[in-house]
Amino acid sequence: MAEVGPGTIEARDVAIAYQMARGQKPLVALRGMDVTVRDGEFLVVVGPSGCGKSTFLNVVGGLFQPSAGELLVGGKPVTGPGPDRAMVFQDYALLPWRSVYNNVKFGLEVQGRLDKDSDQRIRHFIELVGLKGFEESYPRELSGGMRQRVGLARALVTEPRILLMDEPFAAIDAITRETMQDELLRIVAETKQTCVFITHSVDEAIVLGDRIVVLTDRPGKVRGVIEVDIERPRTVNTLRHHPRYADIRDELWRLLRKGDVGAAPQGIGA
Amino acid sequence: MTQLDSTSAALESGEADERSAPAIRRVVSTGRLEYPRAQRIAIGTLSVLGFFTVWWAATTFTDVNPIFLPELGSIRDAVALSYTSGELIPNLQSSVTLFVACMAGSLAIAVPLGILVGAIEPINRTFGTWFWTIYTSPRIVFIPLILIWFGYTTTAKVAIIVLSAVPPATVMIMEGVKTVEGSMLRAARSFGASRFDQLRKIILPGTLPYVGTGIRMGVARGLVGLFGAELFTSRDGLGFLLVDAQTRYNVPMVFGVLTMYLIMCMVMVSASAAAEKRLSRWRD
Amino acid sequence: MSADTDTTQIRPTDTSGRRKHAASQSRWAEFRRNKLGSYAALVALLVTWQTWVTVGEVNPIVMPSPVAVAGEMVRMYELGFLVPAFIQSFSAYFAGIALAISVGMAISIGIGLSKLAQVITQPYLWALFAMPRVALIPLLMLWFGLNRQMVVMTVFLSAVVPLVLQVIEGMRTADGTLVRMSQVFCAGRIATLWKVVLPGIVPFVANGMRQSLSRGFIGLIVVELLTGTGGLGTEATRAATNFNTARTMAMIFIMLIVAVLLVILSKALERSASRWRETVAV
Repeated sequence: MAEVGPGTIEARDVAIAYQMARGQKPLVALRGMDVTVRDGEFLVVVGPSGCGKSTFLNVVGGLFQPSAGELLVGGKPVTGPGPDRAMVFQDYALLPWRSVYNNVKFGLEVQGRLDKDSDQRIRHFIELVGLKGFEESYPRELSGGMRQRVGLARALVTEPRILLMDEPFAAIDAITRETMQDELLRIVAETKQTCVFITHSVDEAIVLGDRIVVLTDRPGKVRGVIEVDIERPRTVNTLRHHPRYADIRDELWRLLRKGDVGAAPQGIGA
Repeated sequence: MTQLDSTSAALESGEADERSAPAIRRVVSTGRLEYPRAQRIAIGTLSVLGFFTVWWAATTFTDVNPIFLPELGSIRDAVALSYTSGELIPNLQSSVTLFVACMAGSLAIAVPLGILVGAIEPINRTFGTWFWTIYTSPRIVFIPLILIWFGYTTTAKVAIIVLSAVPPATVMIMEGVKTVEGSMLRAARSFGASRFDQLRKIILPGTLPYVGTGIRMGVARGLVGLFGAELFTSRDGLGFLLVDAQTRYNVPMVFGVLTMYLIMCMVMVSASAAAEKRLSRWRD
Repeated sequence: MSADTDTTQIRPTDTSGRRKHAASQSRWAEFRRNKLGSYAALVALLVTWQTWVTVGEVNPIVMPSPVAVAGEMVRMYELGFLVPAFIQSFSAYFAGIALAISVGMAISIGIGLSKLAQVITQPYLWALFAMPRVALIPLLMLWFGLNRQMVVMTVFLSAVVPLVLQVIEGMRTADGTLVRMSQVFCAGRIATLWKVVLPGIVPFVANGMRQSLSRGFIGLIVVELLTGTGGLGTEATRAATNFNTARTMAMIFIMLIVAVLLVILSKALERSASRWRETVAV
């Protein structure tokens, strides 16, 4: 394996069994999950619905401890959430009673990191995600795409080493989604964070990822890994015409379809 | 790094499988867990039993004032005495009969009225606001006037209960009719449905869930009316037993009557909730 | 419904054309479209009532005319028992409401924090929910005697139940994603409670308080009507037992006005507390 940096994530044989209600049989979401995310890498995770993609992200985020196996971030076992990791949620998870500015402030605030520079930092990141002028707006006044920009700014402003994104663009319309993908690429090219990005969309995976990890049906484990050997900077539009694009797409589909023989994977949409 | 899972058949069931390594060390919970139904019932029952145990212990081992907390046995004796003296059953019957009859009458008024006001736009515009106003105002203030008009009679009780139950039911149904979508009506018209057909095949079924809500709200408010009416007139019914026991400082009997009231309320409220659920089956 | 939501806040991002259209409409057109019919109906009712009583020479004990009721209101004010009755009613009412809010909030947040506490208290809350609290008045009379303390307790009991139920519901449905988000950003338990859970239940608290205000008022009126412990309700009963129908109706009218004002007040309160909620129209 490559050298371990502060943004390296190593999952070794990770299993997660969880319970939704008391007295319920535990559900095994992940089993034998083995993957290493290099420092500064953009890793995309795809797989059938309910295969434990989000669960894996929550483990990295420190919300759950692995039921078995080991999860290391920067070479150390994860014991809980930390300021070195931040998450972007599929349903935005904005506090509806707070303005854009105060939503972005939330992470710094609860981590006790507010100081004289934070105001400037918050404004900088709001501008970076393209929401300048909307500082005092409330989430209900924003479109889905704009809300997710707030979610992204909130994560970025804490300057995490690792950015965890749980299908962040799934609920956003197709056109806005492409813009958001381009902007995300532009931002992380600048910040050089490790990114773990979960998606249902094959195209999104190829646009964004350095590598794509395909998971099996539940309980999820790694079925295959695809290197996306397309040079950066990429944009959604140029990528479509890249000679490698079709090959990678085929390969990805092949991996995803392998599950068809046993249990049909549901909801894999491009 | 590509790994194909040859034993996936065993694993894909999604349940814990102890045969394959590594062993599950701990089970993760997602947030605070809900209790399953069986446990909820068990804990609730235990809680109630515990409550009565504490009650029993307090009255047996401490000299708590029996006006605040009568002995459980004395409540049972008081109810038993009123049963053997032949007072209990007729009064209980009177309350239940009165309430059920008044609720039937109230619905017979509220359903057509609600549909009428909701479906016909000019009527709605003129009277809709007033129905809402009446619904939000405490109709209980009319009790003195009703007592002047009807005296301390059963008619007065009926008036109070109907006045309590009709407005909430009417308003719910009225609002329900308004939610029937215009697109459905247009679709029906395009198939040549007559006005009567539209009412019968679209408005009525579309409003049914709201009729259910109306029944539930009507019953809840009707019970307030029943107790108000019985406390004021106190000629017969559980209200009579209650006021009678209170004026004679018969605290155990007050508790006994309140318990019967409580049971009656629980039955009525559950029944109306069940009715609502049944009427809104087609909704998700 | 969308007409009375906040039209004052039009922001640059708000592209909802309907609102702007509504705002640009003249007030009179708005009034004529929505309110005129209702007020006309009220006037027609009053006129019919007055005509019926005057022309039909109806016995004023059965049905006094609206003019007589209005005159009675002035007379009551001149006799000087209206203001003390008001003060008496409202001191008990607000004491009961204040008690209900402070005790109710403490209880319900406590219960809401623990699933076990929710399951344990469920039977009692359900019983209190199902049974109208006015039935407890005879018991309260035995416990506290015929005094204002008993009136305060009746208001308290009537008001506290809806608040507690609403707040527990709010705590129960506290947004799981938001709590998860708070945890991922390393917020502690206290910070999560204070910054995420409690602000989230504000609309539920406001809704509960709205119900509390109206249920508390019903409790107040019933106990005053029933027990003669003073206040507006007792004056109404006194007038009724003297077969002074005009004064009874005047008292009823006053109580209705007060109730309507309370509803308006509590709706405004609820709306301002839930401003950040998404409106259905958007």
